[in-house]
Amino acid sequence: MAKFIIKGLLLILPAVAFISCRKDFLQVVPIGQVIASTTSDYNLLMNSKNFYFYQAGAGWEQPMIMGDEIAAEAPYLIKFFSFQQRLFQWQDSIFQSTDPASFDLGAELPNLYTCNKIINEVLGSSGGTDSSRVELQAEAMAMRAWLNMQFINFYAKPYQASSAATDPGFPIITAADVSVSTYTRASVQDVYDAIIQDFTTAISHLPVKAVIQTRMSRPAAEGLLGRTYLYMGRYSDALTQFNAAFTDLAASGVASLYNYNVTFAPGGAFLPINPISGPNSPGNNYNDFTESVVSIAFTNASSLMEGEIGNDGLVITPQVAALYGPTDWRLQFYSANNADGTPNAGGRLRKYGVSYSRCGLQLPDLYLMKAECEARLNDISDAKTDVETLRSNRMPASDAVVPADTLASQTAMIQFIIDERIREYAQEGYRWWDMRRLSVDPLFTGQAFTHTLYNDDAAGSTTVYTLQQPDRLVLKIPPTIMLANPGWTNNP
Amino acid sequence: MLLQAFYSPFRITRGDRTKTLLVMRLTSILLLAGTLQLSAKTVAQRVTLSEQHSSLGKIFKKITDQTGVLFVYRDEWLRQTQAVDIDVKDASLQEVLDICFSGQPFTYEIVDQVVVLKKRPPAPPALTDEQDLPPPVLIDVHGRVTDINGNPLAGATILVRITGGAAVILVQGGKPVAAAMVSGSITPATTTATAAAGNVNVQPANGPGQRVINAVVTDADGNFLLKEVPENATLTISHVGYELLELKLNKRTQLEVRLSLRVSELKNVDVTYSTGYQVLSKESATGSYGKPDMGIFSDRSGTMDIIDRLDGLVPGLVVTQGVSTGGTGVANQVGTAQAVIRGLSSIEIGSTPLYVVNGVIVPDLTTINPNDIQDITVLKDAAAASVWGAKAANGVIVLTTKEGVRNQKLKFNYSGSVTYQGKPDFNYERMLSSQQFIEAAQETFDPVTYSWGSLYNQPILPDEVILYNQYRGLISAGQATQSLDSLSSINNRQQIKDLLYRNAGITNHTLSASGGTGNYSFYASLGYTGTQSNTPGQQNNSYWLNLSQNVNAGRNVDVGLNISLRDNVTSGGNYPSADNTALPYQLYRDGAANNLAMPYLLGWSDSLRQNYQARSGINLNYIPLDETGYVQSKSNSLDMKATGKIGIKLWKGLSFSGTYGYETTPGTSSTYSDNQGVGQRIQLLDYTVAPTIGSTPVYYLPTTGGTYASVTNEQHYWTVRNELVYTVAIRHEKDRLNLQAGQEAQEQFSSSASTTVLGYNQALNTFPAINYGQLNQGIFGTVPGGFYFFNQEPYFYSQTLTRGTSYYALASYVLAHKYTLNLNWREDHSNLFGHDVSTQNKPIWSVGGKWQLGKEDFMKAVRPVDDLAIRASYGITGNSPYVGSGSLYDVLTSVPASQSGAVAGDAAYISSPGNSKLSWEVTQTVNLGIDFSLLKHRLSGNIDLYHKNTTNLLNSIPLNPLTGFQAGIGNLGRLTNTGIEWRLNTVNIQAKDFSWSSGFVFSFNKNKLQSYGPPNPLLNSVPNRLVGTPAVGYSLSPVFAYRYAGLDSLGDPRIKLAGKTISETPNIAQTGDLRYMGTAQPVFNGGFTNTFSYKGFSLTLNMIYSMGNVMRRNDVDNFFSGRLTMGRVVTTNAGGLGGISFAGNGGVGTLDGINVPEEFVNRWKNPGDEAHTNIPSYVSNSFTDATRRSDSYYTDADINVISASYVKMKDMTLAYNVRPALLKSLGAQSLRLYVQAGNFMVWRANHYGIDPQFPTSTMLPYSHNYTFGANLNF
Repeated sequence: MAKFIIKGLLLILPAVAFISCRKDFLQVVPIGQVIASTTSDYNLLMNSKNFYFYQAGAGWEQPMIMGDEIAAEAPYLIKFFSFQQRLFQWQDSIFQSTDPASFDLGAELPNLYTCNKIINEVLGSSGGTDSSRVELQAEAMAMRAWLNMQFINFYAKPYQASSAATDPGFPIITAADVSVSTYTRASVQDVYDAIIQDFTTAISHLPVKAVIQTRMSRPAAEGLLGRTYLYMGRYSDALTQFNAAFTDLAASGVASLYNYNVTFAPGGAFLPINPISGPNSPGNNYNDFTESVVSIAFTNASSLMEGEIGNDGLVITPQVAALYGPTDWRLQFYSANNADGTPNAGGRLRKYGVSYSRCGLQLPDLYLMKAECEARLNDISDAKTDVETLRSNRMPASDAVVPADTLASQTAMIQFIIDERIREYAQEGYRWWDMRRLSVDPLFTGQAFTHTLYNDDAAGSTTVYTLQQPDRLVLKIPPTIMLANPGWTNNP
Repeated sequence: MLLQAFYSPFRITRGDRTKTLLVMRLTSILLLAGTLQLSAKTVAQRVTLSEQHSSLGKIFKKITDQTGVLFVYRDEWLRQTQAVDIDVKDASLQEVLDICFSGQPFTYEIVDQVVVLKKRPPAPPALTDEQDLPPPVLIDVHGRVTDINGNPLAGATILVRITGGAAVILVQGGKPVAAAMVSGSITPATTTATAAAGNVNVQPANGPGQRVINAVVTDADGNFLLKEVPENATLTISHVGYELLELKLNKRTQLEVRLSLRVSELKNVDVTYSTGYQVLSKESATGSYGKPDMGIFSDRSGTMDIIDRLDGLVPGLVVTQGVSTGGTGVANQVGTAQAVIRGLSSIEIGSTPLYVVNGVIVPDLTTINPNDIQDITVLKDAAAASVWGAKAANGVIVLTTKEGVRNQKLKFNYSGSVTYQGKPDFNYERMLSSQQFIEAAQETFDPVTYSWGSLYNQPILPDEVILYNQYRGLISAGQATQSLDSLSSINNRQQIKDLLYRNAGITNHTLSASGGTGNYSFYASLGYTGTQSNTPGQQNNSYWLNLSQNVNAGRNVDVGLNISLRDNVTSGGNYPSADNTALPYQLYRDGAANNLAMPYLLGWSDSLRQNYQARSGINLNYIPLDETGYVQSKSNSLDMKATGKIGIKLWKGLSFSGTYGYETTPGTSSTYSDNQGVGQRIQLLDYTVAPTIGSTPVYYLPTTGGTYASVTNEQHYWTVRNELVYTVAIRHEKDRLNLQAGQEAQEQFSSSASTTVLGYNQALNTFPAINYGQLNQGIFGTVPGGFYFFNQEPYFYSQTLTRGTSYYALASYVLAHKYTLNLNWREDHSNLFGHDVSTQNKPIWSVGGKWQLGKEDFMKAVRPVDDLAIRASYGITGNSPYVGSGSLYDVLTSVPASQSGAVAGDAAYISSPGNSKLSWEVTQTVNLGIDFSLLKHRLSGNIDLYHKNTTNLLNSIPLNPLTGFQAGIGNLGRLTNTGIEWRLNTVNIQAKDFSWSSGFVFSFNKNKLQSYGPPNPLLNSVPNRLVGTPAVGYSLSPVFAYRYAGLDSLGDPRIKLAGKTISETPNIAQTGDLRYMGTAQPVFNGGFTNTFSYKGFSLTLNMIYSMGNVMRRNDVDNFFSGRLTMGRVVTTNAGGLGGISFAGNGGVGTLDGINVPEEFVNRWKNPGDEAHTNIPSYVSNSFTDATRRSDSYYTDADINVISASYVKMKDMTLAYNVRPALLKSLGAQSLRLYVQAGNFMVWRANHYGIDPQFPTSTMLPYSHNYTFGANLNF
């Protein structure tokens, strides 16, 4: 018996002993994890939701609080985080040394890493076609350019050709490398050049129509490049890009305007209107890409829905409310009730119906930017057509017409378009970007920006904050970034 | 019973030694032979022989060669014969045979040319001249040797003296040769450590005809078996360090022998160290090893946590209490304690040591029944631990489970205990009483800043409702005061204790059996552990089974097999948790035994809640005690381990050894959450669309049944180790060389699959089809507003697989039994995902030496020194940065769209960024040690000094945020650990019936981060300093604090900056303004044990201490702004509830998190108060609070850092050994009863009543525990 056991063991032992000597023994790929090697792996990276949906204070939530089209109700604003209250007051230092970093950078810098990885590696990947690899690289470049637009417009002075070459900008980061210890700030001009270079390269390789509007396409890159030129004051170059974008949009057949006259009519798609979140519109459904050229959404909801960070205490100023005509369907996104459902004693309007705003490229924005460039190039009639295209989808056609006296003056026309931008995008962050570029626009110099805090919702006392120009049009670089990069000079 | 001191050391000569070894070899050769043997040759009747100490078998062969006479005998008979010295010339056959058989248990008969062996007939008792007496009756004697406390004594020598002859013990170096030979011949050095019992027959050197002495040695349990001894023989029982005992057998076959400690010759217990790869004798151990007192270990039956039982027993092993809140917010006795060996040397890999059971790595120790543990060895320095390679950077804890003993009759052991732990100490960390709470609520009431309307989605407490009602003019001031007064008179503490808690405790039973024959032994045990937690309705039972077998399969093959099984079955309901931070006036049940509702805890104003309820048609009330039955969960977790070992002798000293371990832990758990439960109701609300009151609600989730979630876990681990061992004695046994080389492979696999079914009807086993596609894309316009996307996946699977291969070689050389040199070498490769294999080619090695000074001749003269050895070792251990932490390439994790709700489909993100610039973490360890025994062994112990130098310490370090990552694995810098450890055992009093002995365990560890690798300015930031991020020049767990400078005239906290200026400006402090307070890790710690014995009683007092470290106070005021409920602002998002678990999920469902520390009462209230209080003022507006001042100037101030030093009576045990005479009628051999009381604070350095073992403010400690236990052998 024992002998059998021994013989058996002696037979089994060598078998067991050499299991571990097989070459592939240590080659284990964990389930659900990969090292990027195929083009499809890079495609999955580019498909990340992190690129098209920013939450928890990222995206344009900070600009939204800083826009001068809004005011705040003190009893609700007290629930904001301190940094949000500091943003509203346009304080010098928004983030403290105890904060990890700003919310925008916290969400966007990892995306920059992924873009750089794709740009630098995808051409060497396997399994895809050459064109699919180039296309992916172009997508990542366009996304990198969009990210750099955020950085340079949050943390550097507005573009002015006269000083851009010496104004401190933001580092131009082109490598995905966590071992880099310090970076240097490039000039504003260099960053804009890099953005233009990325968009330009991308445009020549991007598909006219993306698989889905969360991904970059040729019209998206053209429109965003146009926006870049617009911010640089290069209206003619901008218009070229906007026109190209519209041409490509027409070819691709994506993006069309909702006609609010239909969607708010009985049985319309935006109905019923939820008492807490408003109309059933793209503002409540970040998966609705009808009006998106490229959809990059961010949460912009009441704290009732979003929990910690919300916009409960924010209202539009009475002056902004007065910009709307009574038949403007866009008023449906506002409520004269406070967040708890009680009426606002001051009658101020709260944008409760847009829980998800978009900071990619929306068709209304494209129309308005194109119109503005046309107006600036003194092509009033094309500007009129474009503005009215948008307006006629937002209100009855009879009220959509641009007033004649406006048409009579180029400046008035530009102002009208700027106002239309507020009417379309109040309390969504767009205004902050416009405030910055208009502050260096000779046409608009001398504008003062103020924020009013209503200490209680009755007609009572207010506190008014005035934005200190030009310094406070630029956010200071968060202490964490400053600490990690000794030698930087922070913005004044 | 005759008790006589008798001891005569006898030095053996080399000649004798050679002879005895010959016997052994011969014996083993004889073992091989089969049954009856015949041998024949030509006949010649005269014989010439000259044999020294030859076996009968050898002599028979020579006689046959010379005479042709055949011998007939049974082979095993020869094993019972003694070696013979004979010197005859031309003698007759009969003369020769007479000499040969003299004193043997056999006689002979010559039939023709055949000599037939016969058993010698029993002799009559001898009186004066034994030559004339008939042979004695031979009997088998079973016995057990214990100390006076009933603890078994292994290695005691029992000599049989046959009537009048002198018993002689052969002793060399204080150790009986017999014992040494037993272990040398039967237990090869490469197999298990357990001392085996066996019979060895020794022929003294005085020449032929001398009385034969039969000697045996007791096994690990103190048992021995004497075969065929004369029934009237006298036994001499001796053991190093104990009084020698002589007793007459008087025909008894069962003996229970107790030895008392010998004052004159106290000796260390013979120690061996098991490294998992080899068992080292004290002589060949050059590394630093620690062994706990296993008696104290097994008495600590109040916990089944093996690490917790080791607290204070091993120098250099720091045990921190397990923190497991078990969802109840209070300390739970099932928390797993953490061990840290010799300070922190690897942060990233964790500080947990490697756990090894029976030579095989196990993931955790909770699956081992502590009652099955035979031996624990802690490997501390490089020489000890490097055999385990890279994984051993934190030290190794090696467990060996019990095994049976050969040649032992079946015996049983029962161990049982019951532990009572009671309820947590609710007076720990004092919070506001109801009256104080109401006063605080009135004082902080600010209806302007916090307007009634703005609170619509926040909890509003009953007291606040009263205050707001008064403010809004709904009730009069008198009504408000009356209502508030009635609230402040209520105290719910008793209800919390009675309704939400029950007494905790542990019940434990283990029954074991063991025994063995000549070539087989076994140990088997059955165990049960019932753990009663504090939460009513919870059950937690473990069932244990363990079987260990050893068999000699033929002469050259030893096979061992250990199988153990643990089944852990738990079940529970859904009890809401409440601790001392619960709202103090809220009762849970009224006088009429109705459970009380507290819907405000759900976080909506009453009107909003009514609105939701009306629109959705879903009940949104919350009655905590009604919830208890709505969730039922149960789990069953099985753990099966099998460890096989084989040893094959190949050729001379060369042998093959194999170790094969397999462990699998299949487990299932399930939770059913009924739709009536609050979590399910709120989840349903989030997916219900009902725009107006009166509109028909549309439910997107099922409204009946409940959510049934089941999880199936599967883990398996296997180890295959094959090695060759070569052991040889050189220079005539003067030296010994041991070489060992092998290869091993391991795999660790774990997987988990969970299934979640919505709307499950348990009775009918039915569930509706769910439109997951729609739910994943989100539901718009729901009752709470907005967009909810459902990311609970119906099925989720995950798995991890880790593999490794290693090669190792061990060498040791012992020169002249005095000088030992050890070398260890090992290389590990593990499966690397995203790495190059070449990054792992870094060997781990160590070298160690030992000089047994005490054996040198010149030390003999130094009388007070009984034993002295010095050790030194040096070695390198290390960790590749690319194993389990950093990665060389970016690792992508895929995210299915069903989980992320991503409309663009499946995606991937970078879960771990690649970093090609990481270096190996390398730790060099130098260890110097002294082992000593002084003053006739009254004082013994060992001292170790070590210095560990870790370079390129791996740690998660802050990265430049511009890289895209906040933190990642990096090489932090160089770390040193320096320490001293000692263990001292003393025998203070040793009288006839009374003894007092002490054990003192001490360790000192100082670690310091010497330098940063790449400079990273973020590491130096004030916030990082305050959270204890390592800083150059300080210990690895530094505690920094602001220099407090009291309050200013607004009651804002101020600090003193380095330039001596005083400031209250927020965020002004720079790193240099902080004060270093000390380290959070204990600097000194250990234990102090005193054992008093009086007759059958013993009292063990076991203290532990920990000193030299600091901690922040956990009871300081933390309420400086906002509403008194702000601590528990909740959201009713889907994300906050998940719908499955309710209690323990945070937010909704827990009743605690409302109350604030009592210190709040003493805060700054009016100008001038700054003169007599340090506690900042309360500022209603939270933005003002955040901009005007920094609250952390107070909470993180130096005045709130206190010493964490303490001395605790870990346990006190009173035990009684029932006298054997009383047990005899029961058939039992020994019975030990004990009571133990644990956890008594003896001294602490803080005045705040804080127990440093429970430093966090999230759990409440227990006060004391009490155990009653029994230990029965039969």
